[in-house]
Amino acid sequence: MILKNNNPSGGLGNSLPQSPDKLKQIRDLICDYTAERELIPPLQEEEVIFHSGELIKKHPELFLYQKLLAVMINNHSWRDIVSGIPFNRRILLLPKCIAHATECPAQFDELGLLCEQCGKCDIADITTRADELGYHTLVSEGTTTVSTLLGSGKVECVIGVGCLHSFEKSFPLAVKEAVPSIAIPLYNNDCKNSKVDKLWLDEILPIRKESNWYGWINIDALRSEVNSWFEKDQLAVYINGEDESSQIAIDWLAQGGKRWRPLIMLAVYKALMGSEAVMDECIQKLAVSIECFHKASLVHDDIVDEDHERYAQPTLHRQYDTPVAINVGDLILGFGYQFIAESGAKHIRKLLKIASYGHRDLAIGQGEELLWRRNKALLSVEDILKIFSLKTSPAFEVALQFGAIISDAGDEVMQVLTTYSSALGIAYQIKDDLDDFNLGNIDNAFNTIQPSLVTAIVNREHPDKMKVWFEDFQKGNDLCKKEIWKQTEIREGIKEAEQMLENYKLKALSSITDLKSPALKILLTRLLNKILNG
Amino acid sequence: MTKKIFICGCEKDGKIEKESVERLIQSLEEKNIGYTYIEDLCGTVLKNPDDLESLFTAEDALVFGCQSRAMQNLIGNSGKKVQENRTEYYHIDDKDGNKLVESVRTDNPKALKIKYADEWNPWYPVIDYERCNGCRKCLNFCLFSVYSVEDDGSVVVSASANCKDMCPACARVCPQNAIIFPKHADSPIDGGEGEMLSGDNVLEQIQNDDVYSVLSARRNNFKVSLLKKEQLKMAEEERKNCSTTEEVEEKACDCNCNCKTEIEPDCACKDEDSDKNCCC
Ligand code: SF4
Ligand code: SF4
Repeated sequence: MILKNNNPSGGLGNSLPQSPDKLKQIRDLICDYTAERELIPPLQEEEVIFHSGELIKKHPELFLYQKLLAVMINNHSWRDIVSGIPFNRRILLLPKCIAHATECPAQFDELGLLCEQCGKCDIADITTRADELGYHTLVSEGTTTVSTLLGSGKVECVIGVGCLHSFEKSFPLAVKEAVPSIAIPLYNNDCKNSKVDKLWLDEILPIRKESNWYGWINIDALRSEVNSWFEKDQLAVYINGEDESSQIAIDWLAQGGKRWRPLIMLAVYKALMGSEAVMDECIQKLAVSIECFHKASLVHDDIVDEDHERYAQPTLHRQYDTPVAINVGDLILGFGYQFIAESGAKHIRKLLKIASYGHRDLAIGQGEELLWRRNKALLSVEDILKIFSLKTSPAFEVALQFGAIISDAGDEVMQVLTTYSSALGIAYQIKDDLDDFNLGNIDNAFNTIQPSLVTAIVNREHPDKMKVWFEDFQKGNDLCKKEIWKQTEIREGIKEAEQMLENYKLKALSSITDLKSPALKILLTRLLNKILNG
Repeated sequence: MTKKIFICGCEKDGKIEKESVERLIQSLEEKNIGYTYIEDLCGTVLKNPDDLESLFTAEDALVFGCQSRAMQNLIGNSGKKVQENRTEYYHIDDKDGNKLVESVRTDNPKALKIKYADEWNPWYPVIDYERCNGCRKCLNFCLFSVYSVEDDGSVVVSASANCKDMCPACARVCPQNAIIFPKHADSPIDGGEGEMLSGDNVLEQIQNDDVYSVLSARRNNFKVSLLKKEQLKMAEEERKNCSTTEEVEEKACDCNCNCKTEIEPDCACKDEDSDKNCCC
């Protein structure tokens, strides 16, 4: 049966006072409340709920307006940053239900209503006002357009009008992408002839303050800048050896990849330094050095894992042979240290220490895995998490800390970055594992060479079954390959791993709650999302 | 020809004119033809499908209501209709349909009624599987998890009641125009004929290009189209004026005299012997 019947859930604390004065009064209360504490955005859902709870403790009569309070607190945390964003980078989102329900002559396209300014509803007025200020305005039919916008990761600021119900849906997305946003709820929730508090809207629309807000970092633009540093002739400026090994190294460094690490370093640097960030030779050299450590480890990994392809090209030991590849890997590592040493950065000693610790931990993690392979037993969940942490976290950590050090960040920031990257690194690996399972990439998922979290979980719960599957699989039993997805044990294992992924994401997010720099906080929130979703 | 006749009154929304329903019912009663009146087909299909047993199992039926495509898919989506049985769907105002009625005979010339007493306003999407290619855009687009995928990969409307009242946005996202909201006010979203106003895939552009320039471009395009609309309107009016009024006679002279600035110049001077100060 295709049509099913399930009732939408009603909510508590869902009301809204119906007068502009009362709304204003509550806004003022929130102003007072937030004045006493520093709320640095983006706030996580739990934080917002916590603060609205505190407010209700103080003013029990506000109990009815719990959700409204949450919205207002969140608004308040963003206020300063929003004021710093030029109007033409802001998007005003209005809901179509404000339009006249029966007489609106406007047409729609995929994005929503195209107001003809007939004047039968408030939209004409509001959009004219917003237009004059320079806003981009959208009158959308559903929260879904909003979600596409927010999810694009390219929107710098949103002023959104909507019902409380729809905010609940879009809030998590706004948090995920850390979009500076202010939400103004409609008086009613019933999706027809809705009204917005114009007083409130008029108060918000024109807020503008000169500030040094450089927080929104265009990751795509930054990536193309980084990519340009890895063009062959650019690399040749730094790597000037005429010998063949150096040439192979240049080729290898110039080849594909997402360049997450140099990108992360730069983004952190930009977030912390704002307009003072300069992309000079020192920064370039450090960025290249970070990529060197990563690319060298890939050369060696490919040999160890007997992989034949990377970036849709033959791996280095396939292009040449294993001894040559090992040596080029070593050479690239050497370049990495050389570039740090020659960078002329202020804190070379700190940078070297961080790079070498990262290098060391990676090798230790790899060592654990290699030694495990020798006895072919399935690893325990704890062992796997440890390997994940040692193998992946340092890479992110080095990049993040490099960015922080060249921005003269203090110890508190460094500490936060360590916790963050450890959680992010583990989450990244779990995600990788889950992708193998979810994409039906069974050969990878049931790999005897690489440890997998899902199989470890299944093995912990159902060792007997796992043993049979494992043996079947090694014999190349095709039926086993096809059928294994449908097994409840595997499904449950996947579920548990997904839960763990969520937990590590949360851990990463909660590690950054106390950061003082909103720009860094916003960046790290966005990065988490970007890195874990490709 | 014995057929069962069903009429939907769309009472939860009023998309169907009461008069049309009454007219049809009256003509059926005059001819002593039995029929079943359904207060709200959308609502009953979802909430009390058992009430529609007679429709699902009817060997040969005529259904009158809103857009035929909407009703056909609404019933089709329920998965309850006996497949091989014949059912034709007509808009209540469809002339052919109304003509068909004349030759119908029924076994049971009684009038039955299927009530829909629920509070809930039945607003939800219906998928036209003749068009749907399973791309899942709707599923990814909808925030309220209205859609899901079956084991065989087909996209289905699985949580209809989650759908936001009056929001037809997913219908505009569907590249196949496969989504119908029977109660939507306009065609083609209500299952009727017509083209969807396409925004050149703005949604995709937004995901891939610079959001701000896409939005600006959209706005400018719209402004231009509004302007064109204005111009068209003006042109239209001008043409009307031209065809109704006589050619306006040239009454004014060619000279520079003062009467030129008057609204209805009535100048009698000779071109040659006048100057600015001349007043004719
Ligand atoms: S002002 Fe715009 S949105 Fe409002 S009813 Fe008129 S055309 Fe529609
Ligand atoms: S968007 Fe349209 S074509 Fe794609 S799955 Fe949904 S209904 Fe089918």
